[in-house]
Amino acid sequence: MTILVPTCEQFTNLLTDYEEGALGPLDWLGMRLHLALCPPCQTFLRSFERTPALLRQVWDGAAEAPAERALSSALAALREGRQPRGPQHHPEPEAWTALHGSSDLFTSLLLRLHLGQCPSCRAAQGDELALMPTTTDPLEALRPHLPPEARWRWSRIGDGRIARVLSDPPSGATLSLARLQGGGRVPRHDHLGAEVSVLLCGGLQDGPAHLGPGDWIAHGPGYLHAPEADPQGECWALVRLESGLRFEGWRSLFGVVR
Amino acid sequence: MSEPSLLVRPEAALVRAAAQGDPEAFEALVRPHLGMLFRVIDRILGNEAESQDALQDALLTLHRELPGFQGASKFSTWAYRICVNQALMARRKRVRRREDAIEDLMPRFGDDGHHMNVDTLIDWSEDAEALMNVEQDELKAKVRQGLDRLSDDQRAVFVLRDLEGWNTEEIAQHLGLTRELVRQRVHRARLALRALLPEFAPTPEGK
Repeated sequence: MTILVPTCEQFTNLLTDYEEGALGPLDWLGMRLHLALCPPCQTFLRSFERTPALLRQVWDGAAEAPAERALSSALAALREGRQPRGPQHHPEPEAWTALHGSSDLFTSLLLRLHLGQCPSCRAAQGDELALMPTTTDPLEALRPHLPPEARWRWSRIGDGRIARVLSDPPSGATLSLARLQGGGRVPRHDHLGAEVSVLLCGGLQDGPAHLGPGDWIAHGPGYLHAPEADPQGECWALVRLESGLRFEGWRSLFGVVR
Repeated sequence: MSEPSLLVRPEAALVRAAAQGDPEAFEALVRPHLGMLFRVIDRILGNEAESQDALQDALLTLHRELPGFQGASKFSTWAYRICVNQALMARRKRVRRREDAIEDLMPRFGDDGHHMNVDTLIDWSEDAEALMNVEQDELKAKVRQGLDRLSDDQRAVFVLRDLEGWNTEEIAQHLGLTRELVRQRVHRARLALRALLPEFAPTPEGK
């Protein structure tokens, strides 16, 4: 606002900022002056301020029937053991098709890592392909499948670091190691393609899921998240990305990061 | 000694039992909050069938993630956040609505920047309670229509800010937006929804 007393249009445009105390002193003073001098804007402000409360009253009650139906269906699924498996903690049933095939070696490697740490999936899928951890080094089972460590090139992302270790040009998929310091957070981002990961060590909160070593994490394109490591220690994951990712906030200036 | 009734067991005990796969404990845990959980999903999605599906998915997610619930917040707060995220995800999967769909609901001003049609600025705020009693169902339908006209982003921000009572900072952090963008979206949504309400105001006698 360039003049001290705003017009009705300027006054209206600044109402939410005014109510939230987000205006500078000159704009605030201009709003007060305009309000004192303009009966139509006084009327407008009263109705503007009352709108949220009216809408809350209109929509206060919740429809019981659909909520009860949702609960009944969920309970029936739990009682009958029909709760869906995956896509967090364990792979979804259809993901296992990659285990024995040769067309998606990155997903196959992730499945083998998961099998190595998940007794219930080994019971269902067999253990001949499982990459079992044999030492306390979380990367030990993985190293024979990756290029030498000297060739890993780390880039910083927020509190974390990521190194692309393998890529598959025909499909565009990449396999990366990601590490996040204890308590660190990856800035909020979404993905243009699917993202599948296995946690190698540490703990991670990703949306509603709290994940531990060996846990499977799969997100479809467009899933928006900002995973955060547990404070106790560093967290490592092996990540298969189908495509690039897009950060929010000022990092969106980088565009799609591949 | 017999096990206390599910209704009187403390929340932490219900969480433990439900996390170990006891469906009755899970039901006792979520049922008191079911209305609140459905309402926030329904406010964001605005479609009863989609909201029912989203709540069912959210309940299964809650059950799956219970072993990782560490009690840092109340169960209801944790469950509420999961339901908000479930609804926002379901919303993002739908066809996006254009942001200019509410232009006709914006207030109009003359070339001098002052209100046009001053006579139609009805001061209905004093009679709001009477308005609520008389026209509940019609008003509810109108409000739903109005919310449906908001873009996905506007609606999510407006619902969280004005219907669910989050503050601007919380919304900005949760949705990865700047505070300015949150305020801008809330503002346009408020202007649009306000414009839907005056026609329900009692008409002054003789007019």
